[in-house]
Amino acid sequence: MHRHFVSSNILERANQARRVLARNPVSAVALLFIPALAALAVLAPWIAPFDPDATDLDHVLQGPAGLHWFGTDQVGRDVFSRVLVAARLDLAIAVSAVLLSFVIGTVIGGAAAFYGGLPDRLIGRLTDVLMTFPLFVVAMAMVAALGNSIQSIVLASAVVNLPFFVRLARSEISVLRSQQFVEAARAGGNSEWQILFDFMIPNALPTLTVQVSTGLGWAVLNAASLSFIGLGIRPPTAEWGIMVAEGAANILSGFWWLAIFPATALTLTVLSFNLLGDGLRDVIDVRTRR
Amino acid sequence: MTEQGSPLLEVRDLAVSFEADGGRVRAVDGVSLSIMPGETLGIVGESGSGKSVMAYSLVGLLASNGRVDRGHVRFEGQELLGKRGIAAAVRGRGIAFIFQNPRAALNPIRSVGDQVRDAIETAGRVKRRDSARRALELLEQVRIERAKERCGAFPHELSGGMCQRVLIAMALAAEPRLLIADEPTTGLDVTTQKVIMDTLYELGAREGLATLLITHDIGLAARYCRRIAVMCAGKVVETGATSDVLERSQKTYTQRLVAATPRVGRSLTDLLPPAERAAFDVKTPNGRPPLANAAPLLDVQAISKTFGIRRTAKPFARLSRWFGGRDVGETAIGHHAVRNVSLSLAPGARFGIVGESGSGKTTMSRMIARLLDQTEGRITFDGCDIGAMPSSSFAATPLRRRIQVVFQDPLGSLNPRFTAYEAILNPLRRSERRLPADVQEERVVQAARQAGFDSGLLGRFPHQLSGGQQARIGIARALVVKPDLLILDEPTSALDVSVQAVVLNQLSLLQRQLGLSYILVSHDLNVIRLMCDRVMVMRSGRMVECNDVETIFSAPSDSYTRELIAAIPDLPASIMEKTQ
Repeated sequence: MHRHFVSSNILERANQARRVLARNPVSAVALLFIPALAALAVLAPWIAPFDPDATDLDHVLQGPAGLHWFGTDQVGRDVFSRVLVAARLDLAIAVSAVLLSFVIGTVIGGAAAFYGGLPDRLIGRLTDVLMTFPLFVVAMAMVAALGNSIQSIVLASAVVNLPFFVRLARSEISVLRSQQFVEAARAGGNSEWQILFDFMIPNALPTLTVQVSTGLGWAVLNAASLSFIGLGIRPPTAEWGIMVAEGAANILSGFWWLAIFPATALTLTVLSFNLLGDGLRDVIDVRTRR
Repeated sequence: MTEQGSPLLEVRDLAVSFEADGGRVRAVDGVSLSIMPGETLGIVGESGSGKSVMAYSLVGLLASNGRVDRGHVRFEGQELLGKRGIAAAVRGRGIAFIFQNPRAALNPIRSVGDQVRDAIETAGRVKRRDSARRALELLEQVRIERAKERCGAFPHELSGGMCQRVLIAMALAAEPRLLIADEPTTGLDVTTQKVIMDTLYELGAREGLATLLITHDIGLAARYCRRIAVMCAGKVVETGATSDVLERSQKTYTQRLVAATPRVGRSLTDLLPPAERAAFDVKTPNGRPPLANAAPLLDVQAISKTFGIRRTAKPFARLSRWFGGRDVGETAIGHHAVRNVSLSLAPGARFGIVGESGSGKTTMSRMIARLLDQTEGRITFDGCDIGAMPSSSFAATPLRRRIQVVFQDPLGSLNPRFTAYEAILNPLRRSERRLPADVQEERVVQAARQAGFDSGLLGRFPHQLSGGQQARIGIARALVVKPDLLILDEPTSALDVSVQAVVLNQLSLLQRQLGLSYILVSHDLNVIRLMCDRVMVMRSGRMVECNDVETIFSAPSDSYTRELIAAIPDLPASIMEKTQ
């Protein structure tokens, strides 16, 4: 009987998700696209028809056709396979970077707002300072300083995303701090940590989720942009930014497929993450449940 | 209709509906009423009765998902519905509106004098160069003292009652014939309420201004309206002279509403319909009367609370002085919320704290509940010096369980992400950590039953429940840990009177059955009178007087208490006798 009364009831959750998505078809499309993309990315090495790095000098720069769906590049590599495998790399970078900044940012911002005082003011000013820099330039500088590696891209993306999460968590928690249910929780014998983790952070989650979603889109774009200008990941690794950079040189020669397919993948991914946000919040927030 | 002449406003068969998930919802369903020039008509009803929607639809102020389905509204013989532009032309000129939350209705970044002038210039009744003089006149007319100085004040610098008077002045700028006042004094103190209502009443008498007073408070309507209309579920249940409707109503709804309004000479169970009284009229053998000679359960000695102004760090203070700022760095003068108040509670006592906003009554209750540290003074609970325990770590002590609080805002005091079950379970899990799941469930269901909460609804979230049900979760959550002292902070001020009647009875019954003590904090003297044996009157942080309830009401020793009692908009004495 107990489980009928608690908020983590799976059936209710699924019902709510269905209702929200029925009302919100754009989010529904995005919500279907992202898991499909994630599945493709995870399974890429097994489902890619060709080895993404295998050159075939007999079939260079062939247009999209039956065997090579997205055509081949200047050294005869299969563009379709490369787009698939690149999704794996770009998503992995974005997810780990955003996860890092989400967890650290929420804890720092939440604690700052919760305890207030000097640490809060210091953290607030620090995020202000960080946000005065052009973010892409900060990311560029970090990768240049830390060396060309996937880890440094992840770290740079995480640092650049961090102030957004800190600010958001801080403002959400400071609004929640003055809510009467927080005082009621205190009267109910909850310790300060229990109030923060059981009452405040769950209530801030719906808003933070939107930021996670747009942050993911931004991080994918950031990783691709860095490699586009030749920082971070180096050719011949399959990566959307590198592929667009290499393909861009060939568009005027009529070999449009080299840039268009990775660019489309990139656009769709970023767009889906941005559209996903609102729908995801409505699914997570129990207050939209009727 | 016995009055002579044609009505100022005539509403015939008005119906309004709203677009909602899963179809249209009818909010106003065939309302007909009329107002004569200079008359005050009261519209009373509980929340959701459609009284505000009805008033808004008269002047075309419905929300975008609302629609007038049918009906006629004639103002001075002119039909307002159906034709675009006419309602807008009449709105503000022939018909003016004042709203519930006065501060929100004023522009925060413009001085009130300018706002009144804006209204005057929009109305175009006087020449532009005379508008300043006219603004002053209007502010004086609504009894704003030192009106000349106050013209330059911004809304945040004025009290809520003052803001409402500014709004009335703005409404009068266009010299309207009808004023629609939607809960004009809800949320204001009783003494302020009296001043506002007296102003409106005078204006009606002097200027021939008709008023449509929309209120949930029957006492208020009875005091200021000659005729009232009772609304329920979008329909007018009955209309007539106030005394007829309140004294001789044949309608069950009106009778119930009148009975549920607390007033002099009625007991707690009188608030309920006769059929429901038996459940609460229980003689409880274990309900002990407070023992005068027993050791006090709670003893509060001379406590004070000063809220400090945040000090600016030294270098910034110098900087801010350089810019001509106030010298906040060194002269941090605090605000005294509570000054030197003492009280003592015997086990099983029913104690009331009454006062207007800013009187310090809530600060007082929060200090006793250990949610706030006092600046000075001692608080002893059952022999333990709880005043010495800082509020931040009081949650960890076993005494936390024994002092519980029922909060003012039923919805706001519940975590939106907890179901009713989880909300009640949470304090139980914190006080008794190793209870098996089935015992937990038993305790939660038992507490829910004691609070009158239907256990079938335990899986619902707060937003899926009504205000009365939310209030009951708040009570169950406090009861589940079996406290000795309950602090009830305005537990029913957000509820309709009929729901309040049930909740108050429930609380009183629990007090008798469980033998617990409570401190009831309220602005409502009528509620205090029904619920408490002793009462303390507070004003600006100080105790005005403290005595037995009967003494306070029959022979108040302080002039402020007398003023407070006089300001209660009570039902006229004749009605009380007849409905008893």
